[in-house]
Amino acid sequence: MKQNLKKFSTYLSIKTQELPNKQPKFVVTLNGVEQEPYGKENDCVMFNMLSIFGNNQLTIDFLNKKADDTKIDDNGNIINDLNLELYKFSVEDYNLTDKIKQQVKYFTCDNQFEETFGFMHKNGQLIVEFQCPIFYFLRDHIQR
Amino acid sequence: MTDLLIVTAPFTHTFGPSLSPALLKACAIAGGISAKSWDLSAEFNFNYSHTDSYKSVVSWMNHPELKITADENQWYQNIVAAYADTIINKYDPKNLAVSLLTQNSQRFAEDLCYYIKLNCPKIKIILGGNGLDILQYMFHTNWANLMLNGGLADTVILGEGEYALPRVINENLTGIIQEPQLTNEQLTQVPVPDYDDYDFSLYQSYTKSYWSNNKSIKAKHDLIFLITASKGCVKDCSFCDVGKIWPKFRFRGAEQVANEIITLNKKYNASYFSFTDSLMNGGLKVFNELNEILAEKLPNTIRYDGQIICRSKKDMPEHYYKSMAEAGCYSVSVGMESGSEKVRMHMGKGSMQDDIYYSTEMLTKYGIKQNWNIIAGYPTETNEDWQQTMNLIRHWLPRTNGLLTISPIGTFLLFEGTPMTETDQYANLEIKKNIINGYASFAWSTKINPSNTFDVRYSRFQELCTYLIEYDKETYSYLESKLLSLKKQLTWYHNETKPKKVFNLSIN
Repeated sequence: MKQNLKKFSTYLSIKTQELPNKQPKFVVTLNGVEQEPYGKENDCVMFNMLSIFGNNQLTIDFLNKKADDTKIDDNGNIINDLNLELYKFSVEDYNLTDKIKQQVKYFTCDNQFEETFGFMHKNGQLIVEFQCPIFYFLRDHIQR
Repeated sequence: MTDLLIVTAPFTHTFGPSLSPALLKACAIAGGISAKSWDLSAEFNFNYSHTDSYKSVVSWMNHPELKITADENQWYQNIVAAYADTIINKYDPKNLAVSLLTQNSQRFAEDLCYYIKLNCPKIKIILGGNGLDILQYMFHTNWANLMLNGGLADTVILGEGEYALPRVINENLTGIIQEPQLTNEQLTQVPVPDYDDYDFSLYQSYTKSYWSNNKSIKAKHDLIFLITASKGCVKDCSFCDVGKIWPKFRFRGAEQVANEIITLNKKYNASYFSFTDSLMNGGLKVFNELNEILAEKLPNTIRYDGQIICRSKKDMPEHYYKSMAEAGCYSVSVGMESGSEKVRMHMGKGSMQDDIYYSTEMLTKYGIKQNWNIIAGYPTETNEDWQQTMNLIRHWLPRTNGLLTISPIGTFLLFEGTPMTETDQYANLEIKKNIINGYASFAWSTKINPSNTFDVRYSRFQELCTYLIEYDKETYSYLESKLLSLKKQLTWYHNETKPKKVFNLSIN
């Protein structure tokens, strides 16, 4: 019966920083279903998905970062790195990027919870929770 | 399983059995549809008004900018979920019609629809009532579209539902149904409301509290039944959205309205009626006919109340007031709004000072209670205008044999859908809406009267409330919570509009 519920077009863009010989490997799921990217533009990987009526959970799992993937110069400055960043997130034309970045949960592989506002610098999982319809979600998160 | 369940959505004040579910049920049955009705809004008030969370939640429904605590939200969500569960499991309707009296019902309707769709998406949800097409600033669309596009509702009826609702069900219509205004003939043929599903004991406590304010006249604790004799208004006041909802004034025949009252009296022992009309004395001839029929067919049996406007002696001669009293007119609510003739003229009310004096004298002479609605801070209102309002009240309160009460409505609110916001007629006011976080109705300012700020409006409202509480604490003590609510709004407004701190980081 629940398949009759309305679905909502959802867009995700993840900015990737690569090393000359290595690309970040990651998996995106929406409500437990792995999503395929539909394209790449500049350094962003893009996804088009369908969120469902009610509660939704989006996850981004960063899988292949190693300690020596962060390149540092003699002064301790990072000169190259392998990382991911939640770059844009929208549902039904509502741009939720800033709002979602405030709320994401980022659990790193060493079981730490970090507040990085959508930036993933270690292997781990970024969790985005939201409700659809999006106005129903937003009314309690922003004032109207 | 029933074809249709009709519910009311909180928050609405409960004075008696809600009309819309009973009327729409009768219309559905006339259209061959099995239907049940549930005055959910009254039940919410009845079951929870004694609880601590109720006041905060109701205040938040009426003023969404006043946020509630996480515990209060949980309390509220549990209630909505329980109501949704009852609808799904007890009533099991194919269609659910949610009737919204005002935009104050929107929040509850959103949550109820969410739970229903989440747990039983096969139920078709139909929304109807007022405030559905009000623009939601944050989302750049109106509420009806938000609900439809969000999958929270299947159909929205904009306009009158008496004929549209059966058609929506019988023809399985979805989307926005823009219903043209019913004609006088169609209104006249509307069936008598069906209150068979109502538990009248629910309303007794509310009826008692309603009557308890009428201490000047010993009254029975009658249930209050609602009657609609006309829709729309003969006026087009600048601040009122009735003209947008119902552009044309229409009225039912006096015989049919009298028949409805007589039927309800016989079937449910109904003896007190409250007219929902914007103005009972909009159509003077038909109003007088109705009074004459009631005086003849139900002498000394019923009482009623409703809203009127102050008419001139020529329009409403003394025998009209006499007929009102003989028919059982107990109380009228008068859209006075201001004691300043200049302000009333700008509003479009058209009542001259002489009309007010004449009307007040007549109502007093025939022992009819009157209640004046007063608005503080109309855009053109000066301090002098406001003092005229205060003077008018001070003059009449002691001269009306205790039959006059005052209802301070609040500060002037700038609503979408009113001539003030929708037409060029008031463009010279150069009103700035001052939308704060999506809220536009109260913080407005006008270029032609810049001293009329929200603070000034609040202080005028406070002056009136304070005077009334001092005049008669028993009658007007309820204004204390209203003042508190407005004070909170004012504080919130100041917090939101105060200049933000800017840190200058200078490098030497």
